[in-house]
Amino acid sequence: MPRVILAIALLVTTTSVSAEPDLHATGDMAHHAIYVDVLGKAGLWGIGYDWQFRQRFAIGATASYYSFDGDHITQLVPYVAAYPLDHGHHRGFLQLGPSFTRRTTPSPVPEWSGMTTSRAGAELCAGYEYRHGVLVRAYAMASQGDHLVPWLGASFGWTL
Amino acid sequence: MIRGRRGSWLGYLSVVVSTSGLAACGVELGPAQPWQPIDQLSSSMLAERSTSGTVRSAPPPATSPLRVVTYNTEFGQDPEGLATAILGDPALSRAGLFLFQEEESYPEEGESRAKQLARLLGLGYVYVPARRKGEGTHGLALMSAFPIDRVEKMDLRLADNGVQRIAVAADVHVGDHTLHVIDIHLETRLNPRERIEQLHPAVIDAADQVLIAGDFNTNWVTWSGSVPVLADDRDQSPILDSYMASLSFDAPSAHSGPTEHAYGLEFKLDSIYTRGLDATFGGVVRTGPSDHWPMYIDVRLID
Repeated sequence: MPRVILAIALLVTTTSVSAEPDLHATGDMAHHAIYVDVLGKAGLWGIGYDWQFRQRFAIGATASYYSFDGDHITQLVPYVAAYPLDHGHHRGFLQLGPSFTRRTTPSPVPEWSGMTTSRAGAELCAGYEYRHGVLVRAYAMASQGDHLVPWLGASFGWTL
Repeated sequence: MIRGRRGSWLGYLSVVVSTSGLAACGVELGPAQPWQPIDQLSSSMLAERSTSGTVRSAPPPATSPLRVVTYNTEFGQDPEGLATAILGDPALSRAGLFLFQEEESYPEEGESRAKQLARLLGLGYVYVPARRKGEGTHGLALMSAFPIDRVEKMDLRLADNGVQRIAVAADVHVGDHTLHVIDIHLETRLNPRERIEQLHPAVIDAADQVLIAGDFNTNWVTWSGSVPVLADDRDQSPILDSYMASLSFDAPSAHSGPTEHAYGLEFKLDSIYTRGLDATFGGVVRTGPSDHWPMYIDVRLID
């Protein structure tokens, strides 16, 4: 995981030193995006928002609360995003940020009172984005908590 | 135009979210079953055990402390490889008791894989089938240099997305002491609450002094039926540890680290719980042909 973070840092450094037009100047990209995240960094599903403050950079967060098979899960995942690749409305992105999760498992048996845990981790996502009025993302991710977990996710929303 | 497009996306999103909600269906578990002495099992699922003459030929292992190993042998498909790994490791070779999961027996192989492994280790054994598998059976095995008796089997609550799993309880007589043990293998595709429901009947009435070990399958995947729908960066073992603590069990293997490896990933699926015993966690030995690694603990037998 430290190697991955180092690679991201290098990538961000490389892209940030390249000459890039201000997002406001390009006029063809909306700055704001709201979306629903499915099976990705926010668990079963979540609602997200991000703000693209430069053409190749954005910050955002995904939040979720859901019950699944009796467990109640609340999750917040803020992130910074970089867009090292783009072609028109199609772009490749990287997102990196911490994750904060609170999970309550009610007891199914009388001798136990259940369990609630709160913990922090880190999540790295890499994937494809289509942004033109609508927002579509498909990505692979790695979540680092007690251990490293690979997974897949998708986002669907709008740009504003 | 934009408004219409957004309307269609809203419809799509509602389908996605609704589908996700529908996917959140739990697993149904069948009824709990009682412990059954192995000499009362049906003829198609008979347990198999060594006679009193087939005990370890090597010098008896140390008993103070007694080393106990739990090991999922991945269908016991390589008895020679398993024996080589165990006998070739100084920590494992001095163990006096082994709790194995995923042993199998097929008529065309002449003798059960548990018997093959026991002979190679020079140990007495008990093999208890959990279910039919092809022309053979799949189950759990205990092996020890010490006498094993009062062996009982419990059919665990059957998950509707899984197969029949069992627990095996036994008394192991080490000198003047008797160690009560339970060997267990839980279903793979269960979420934490279901896993506790499946475990509950096997442990709720356990003896005051007991060691429970096996493959609890405490993976980090959240399941909808047989479909993995969520990955968690925490596995289920802390939840089971918490449940077992409510029954006054210690979890000496809580920080063992991974015990299984597959697809380039590592999982903590195996655990050891003790109650009323002076136990010290040993370690996980990354050896052997199985997808699991053996894990051991030292138990000091006291009056």
